[in-house]
Amino acid sequence: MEPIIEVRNLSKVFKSRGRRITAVDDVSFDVFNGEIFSMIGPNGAGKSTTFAMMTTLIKPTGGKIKVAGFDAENEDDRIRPIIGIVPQKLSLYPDLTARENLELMGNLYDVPKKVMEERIEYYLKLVNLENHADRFTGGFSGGMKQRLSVISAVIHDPQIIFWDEPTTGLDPQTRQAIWKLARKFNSEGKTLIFSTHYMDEADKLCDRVAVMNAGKLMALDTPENLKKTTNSATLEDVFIHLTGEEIRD
Amino acid sequence: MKFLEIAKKDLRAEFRTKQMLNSMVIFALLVMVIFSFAFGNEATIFIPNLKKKIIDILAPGMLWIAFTFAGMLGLSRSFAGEKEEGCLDGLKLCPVDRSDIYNGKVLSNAVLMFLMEIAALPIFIVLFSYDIKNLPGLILVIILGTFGFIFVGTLLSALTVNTRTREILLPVILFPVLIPVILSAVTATATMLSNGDISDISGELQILVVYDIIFFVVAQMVFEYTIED
Repeated sequence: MEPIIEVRNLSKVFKSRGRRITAVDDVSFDVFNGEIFSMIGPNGAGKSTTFAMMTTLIKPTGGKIKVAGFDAENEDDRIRPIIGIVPQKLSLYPDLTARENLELMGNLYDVPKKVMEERIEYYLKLVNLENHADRFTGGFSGGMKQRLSVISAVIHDPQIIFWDEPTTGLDPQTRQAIWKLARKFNSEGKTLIFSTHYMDEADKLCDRVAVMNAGKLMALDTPENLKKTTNSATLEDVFIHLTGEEIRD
Repeated sequence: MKFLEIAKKDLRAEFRTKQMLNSMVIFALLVMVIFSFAFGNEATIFIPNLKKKIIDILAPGMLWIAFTFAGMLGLSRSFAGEKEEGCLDGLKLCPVDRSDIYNGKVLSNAVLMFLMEIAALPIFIVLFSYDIKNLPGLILVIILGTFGFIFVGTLLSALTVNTRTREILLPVILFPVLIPVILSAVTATATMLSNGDISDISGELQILVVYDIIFFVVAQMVFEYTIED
């Protein structure tokens, strides 16, 4: 398989009140076209920062990222149209309806009006929100917001979907629905990149898992291989084995 | 034309809740009513040396205090709402030029400001018994002054959005930068209220136009850096 994302010697240092905080430290990996890739790690491991750099939201301090062959630092305008992002903090406008939120995203991504209308109807049905299309999203539950946020990220039919902690705080039914959606998008040929705290999610859903700790990449392999190489029964055991038992801030 | 989409969603959301618009209009009206009571009958006393009534000296400044302080309420929320909902990052991740985000915000802020001014100006004219002969001249001054305020205010609002004390910090850094536009607008407004001719304020109009152009161009160039994390 050919890599669709190439990360080489990536690092990010934040400066705060005279202190230098290394959030990502010399990380290199590839994400292959059409796979479901997951990044796991304790709080402060550098997952979200790596995500932010891959999605062109922040610039790296060092190293290179290539997304679909485009340099994330200098060709961010070529990358943004081909990626979809479901952020951890869902970017929905509470005083707009679900349909208006989707139309806004469609217009910002230059989706033709007719195509956009068809996609909106299709996706709203897909996530069971068709009866809530004209309700303000401010009154939506967490699960409804998450589902709307997912379809708002794919309204422009992106090649790659970044999903930051997709099921945090959701009930089991909504988690199942989100996993189903992820598999559906993947079966359509889209590459999915997750960050998650749920080991079962990474285990069941992902082709390969990257384990990060304190800004470094500790391991990267299929869930089965990770279990084998660490002599662990579950991915949670792998996680503890690689990142330690110490509680993070 | 993506800035139109950004302005449209801001205005659509605002016209539904009318949170900012109502606050801005009520604040501007309150300022004018309070000043009108505070000035009292003494304000109509004629000062022979200046050939003006006291009110003619005070009212233009008061009008711009009402406009700018009311406008500040809208500006301070312009990016704060986006930030709190996580929507600013969402906008930054879209294939949208950063200047489109700025221009969209300028447009929505300008619409709110002009609506507030449309509501406040007639009340001002009635409260202070003005008979304005050159209304187009006064409107021109208000438009140029408002754009100066919006161009700088929107830029600085984006700059302060990542700070914890943004509501306090914004006026503190904005008003010093606004001094040229406020002084010119107040002087030109005074001339228009005294039924002067548009040619009497050509100097002030030049300052306002140049100020607007400079800050609009500067904002297009630096806005990208103001919203970086």
